[in-house]
Amino acid sequence: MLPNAAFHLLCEKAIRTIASGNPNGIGVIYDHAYPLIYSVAYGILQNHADAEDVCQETLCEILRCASSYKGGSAKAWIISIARNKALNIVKKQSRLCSVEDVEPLRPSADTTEGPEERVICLDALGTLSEKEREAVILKVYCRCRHKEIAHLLDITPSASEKLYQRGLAKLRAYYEEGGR
Amino acid sequence: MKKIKKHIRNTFDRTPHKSKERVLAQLGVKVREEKKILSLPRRPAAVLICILLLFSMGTAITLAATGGAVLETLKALLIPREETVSPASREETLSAEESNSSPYFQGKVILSSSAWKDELGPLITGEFASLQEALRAVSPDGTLYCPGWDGDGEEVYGQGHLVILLNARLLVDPATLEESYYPCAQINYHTQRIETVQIHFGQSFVPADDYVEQYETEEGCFYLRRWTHPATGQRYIIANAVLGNNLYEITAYDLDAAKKMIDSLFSLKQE
Repeated sequence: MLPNAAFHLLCEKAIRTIASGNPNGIGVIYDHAYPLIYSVAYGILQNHADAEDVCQETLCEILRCASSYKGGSAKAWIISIARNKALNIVKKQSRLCSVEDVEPLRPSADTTEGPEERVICLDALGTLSEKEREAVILKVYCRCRHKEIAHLLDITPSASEKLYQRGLAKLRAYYEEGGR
Repeated sequence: MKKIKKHIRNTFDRTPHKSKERVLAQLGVKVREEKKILSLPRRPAAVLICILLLFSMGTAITLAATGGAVLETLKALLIPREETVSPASREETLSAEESNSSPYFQGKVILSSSAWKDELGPLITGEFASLQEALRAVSPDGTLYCPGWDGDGEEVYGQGHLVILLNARLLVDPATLEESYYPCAQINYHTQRIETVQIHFGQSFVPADDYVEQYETEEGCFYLRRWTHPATGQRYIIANAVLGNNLYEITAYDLDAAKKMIDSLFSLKQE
């Protein structure tokens, strides 16, 4: 992923391009923000299929609502949309008839993409609570600051730090135990 | 700690994504198709009907897995039933299934909750010991369910279609979770050719406020409900039924079209 400043400039320019009526900017957003959107969605949903849905819907929403972008952090704007889409899916799924003992299913290893490390990492993230997982992914992968994470998760920056530290501690314990 | 952070970054950087061209094409198609759908006349005659053929219960079905597909969701394998089951009411079918401990079932069924995939895959909402248990879980009184639609969801919803899922038995190898597809056959209403298609389960819940009405036929009762395409916002009517040991789903633009398609299904079968 690009450094924060470069990412922000590229995405902001792309959003403004879309807002001016040229949808080609969405290609730039795909190039630089798709993995970020996916990571945020996966952090909430823990499901590859749903996370990809969210990616698609987020890009759709950006196309539709680019004109509503009023400046500020382009990354945070995109992450907010992705989070809301993911949370909508969570809310929708909560209306399902309850099924007991449902465990979130993790995507199987993709043998063409170095599966073991990826599967272990996703398994490890699965041991965290939802908020811890979000905080860790937003901090480590999305490179958000705790202030930004706090704003996105509607918590205080110190709570964000605590969630992050707790998440990392759990991940460390998971890896030290050999992944299982 | 650095290693853990590196693993996280590598994981999400390398997560398989749809190709950019495909994603952008889908966004472009959706934008264009939205306009197209809005401009379509809403007369039942304008709805294209795709009718699927029902094979006999005793026919062995060969499973074919598409090479190169990535196992991203869990799928179940349909095993044909060796004995013939005579047509029965929905309630009788369910209780027969319930009481049958099943030599055919050797694993667990996993239904998936994601619908907008070009890849085939069931939607995950939980783990069930049998299809009937899954159906009861998503529709506690057993009245409504949504077995799914075929591979390219957008195309199907644009046309109106009928899907028949054969042999209501599902199998998953619990050790390997081997990727496979539900075998299904359809008759293209226009060409009258039999084609093999791959289908998967769709969203497996029906909110009560979307329920519309029941439509009685000689073969059985279809349950009609409203459904909105989450990406385009297009509204459809989906009609579902369990007739004998088979699951039916019809998608149409409106109630009249759905009922005409249901009627067409049975008149075609008689031809």
